[in-house]
Amino acid sequence: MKTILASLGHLGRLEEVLEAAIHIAKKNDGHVIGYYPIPGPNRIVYAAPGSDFPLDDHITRLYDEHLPLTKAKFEDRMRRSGVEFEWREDKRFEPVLTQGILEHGREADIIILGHDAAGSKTAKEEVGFIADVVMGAGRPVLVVPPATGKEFKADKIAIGWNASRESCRAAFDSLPLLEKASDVMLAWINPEKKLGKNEKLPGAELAAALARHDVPVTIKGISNRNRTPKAIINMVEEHDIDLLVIGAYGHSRLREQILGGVTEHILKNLPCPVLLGN
Amino acid sequence: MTRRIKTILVSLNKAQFFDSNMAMAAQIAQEYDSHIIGLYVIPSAIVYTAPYGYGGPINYTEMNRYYRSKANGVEDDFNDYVRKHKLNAEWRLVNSLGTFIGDTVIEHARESDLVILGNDNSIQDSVEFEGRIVTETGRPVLIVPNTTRNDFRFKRSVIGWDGSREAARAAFDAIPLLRMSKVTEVTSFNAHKERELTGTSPGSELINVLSRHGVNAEVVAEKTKKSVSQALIDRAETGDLLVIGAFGHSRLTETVLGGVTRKTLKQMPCPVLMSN
Repeated sequence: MKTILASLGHLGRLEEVLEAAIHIAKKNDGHVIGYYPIPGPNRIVYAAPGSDFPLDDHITRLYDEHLPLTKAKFEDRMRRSGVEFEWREDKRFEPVLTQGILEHGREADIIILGHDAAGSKTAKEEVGFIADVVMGAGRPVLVVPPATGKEFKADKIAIGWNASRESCRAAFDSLPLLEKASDVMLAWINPEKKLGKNEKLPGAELAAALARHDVPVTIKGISNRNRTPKAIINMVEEHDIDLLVIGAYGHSRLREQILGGVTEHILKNLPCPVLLGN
Repeated sequence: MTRRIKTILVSLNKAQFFDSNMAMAAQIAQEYDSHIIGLYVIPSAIVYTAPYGYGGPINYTEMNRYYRSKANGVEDDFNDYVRKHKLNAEWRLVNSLGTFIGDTVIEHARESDLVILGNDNSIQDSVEFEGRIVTETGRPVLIVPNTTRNDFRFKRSVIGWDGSREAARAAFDAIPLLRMSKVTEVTSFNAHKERELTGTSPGSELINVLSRHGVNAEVVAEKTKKSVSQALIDRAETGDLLVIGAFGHSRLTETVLGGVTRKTLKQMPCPVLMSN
C-alpha cells in the first residue's frame, strides 16, 4: 500500500483519518494524499428555468471556510510524522462528495474514510455514502471510527470469511496489512449452520495461501447464538481485535447502493476500524 | 513489502492448452517462488429428459472412467512438467457437484492469488466460461490465448484505462505481473472528449502510483475513429500482456458480459489479465 488516499471530506474527523493513514504509510513506506473535496452548489432549481432562483450553496461555503484550517492542520500533522505527503483540493461541480472520492480513489492503493459515532443521527446517511464509495471504487476502503482514545494499530486482525467473492476480495486486498500483523484470525461465524458437524472448517486453503505470503494466520470457527453481525461485533470485543476485514455485500439499484444486512449493521455500530472489500 | 503472487491456480481441464498454461504459470512461479495448483474437475452427468418419456440410461461408470483416465493423463504430464522445471506444486482432482465445472473452479480460485485459464476462442462456450469465472471469483484471471507459443515473457504490457471501478481493480491486481514487464502503457482512447475541462490526460496519476510499486509505466492517450474495443485489441496485438477490467454481471445462471470484454475474449490478441 504505497499510495494512501485520506479523504478529509468528513470535517472534524481529520485526526483519526490521518492517524490511520500515517500508521499504514510508515509500515509500507507509503505516500499520503490528503484529499479535500469541495462540493458544488445544489443546482436543483424549483422555479422555472431561466429565473433567478438562488442556488443553495451553503455546503460549498462551509467547505470553503474550512479549507485553510484543514490544510494547515494536515500539513502540520504530516510534517511532524515525517511521511511523504501531498495536498489535493478538488473543487467539484456536483453537490456530493462521492464522485470526487471515487475518481481520485481509483488511483490509490487504499481509501481511508472517517465515520460518525455509532447511533448518531448522521450515521445512517453516512452508511449510504460509504456504500457508494466501497461499491464504486474497486479499491479497499478503510473506515475509521471516531477517536476512542485507542491508538490506531493493525496488530490483531480478524477476517470475516465465508468463501464468497466479496470476502475473498477483502482478504487478498488487505494482504499488505496482514503481512505486517502479529496475529491474523480467519473467522467463520456459526460454521455449524452451513456444514455437517464432522466437516472440517472451510478456509484451510485460504489460510495456506495467506501463509505463503508469510501471514501469521489461524482459522477459527466462532459459534454464537446471536445473528452474524452481532456475533462479529462480539468477537471483535472479546478478542480485542484492532482491525476487522470484511467483504461488503451490496448491489446498486439505479442511483442508490443497497448494502447487505451484515455490512450495514457493522457500519452502523462500528466496533473498530473496518477494512471493506467488494 | 511489494505485492507478490504466491499461489497460482491453473485450470487444466482443457488438455490441449496444457503446455501454454503451464509455461505461463512456470514463468510467474519462477519470478515469485510461487506454489502452483493444477486443478482438474470431473463434471457430473447431465440428465436430459426427453419430450416423450425416458431419455435412456446414462452410463455413469463409463463416463467417470473416461474423465478419470483423461485426468490421469494430465496428472502425469503435470508431475513431469513440475519435476522438470523444479516448481512447488500440488495436484487437485475434484468431483464437481454440478454439470458446470466453472463453479468448482471458482470455489478453488477464491483461495489463490491468480487463476490461469486457457482460451479456445473458436467456441462460444469458452467465452461464457471465462466470463463467468472472471465476474464471479473476485480474483484476477490470466487468460492464455490458443497458441503454440510457450515463451510468455512480458516486454510490453498494455493497461486499458478508462477510470472505471473495474479498470482500477485490474490495474492494481496486475501489479506483480507489470513489475515483470519492461514497459507498461496506460492506454486510454478518445479521452480528450471527456477531459477537455480539466486538461489532464487520464492515467497520468496512475503512472505515479504504479511507479511507487516499481512498475515502469507511461501514458498513451490515443485518438481513434475505431470502436474502443477494436482500438484496444489493435494496440495489444504488438504487446505481451493486456490488462483490462471485465464488465459483466451474473444473472442467475448466465453471465452478461460487457462489449469490450466479450470482444477481447473472442479475439485474444495476447495473454489477457481480467479482473472484476
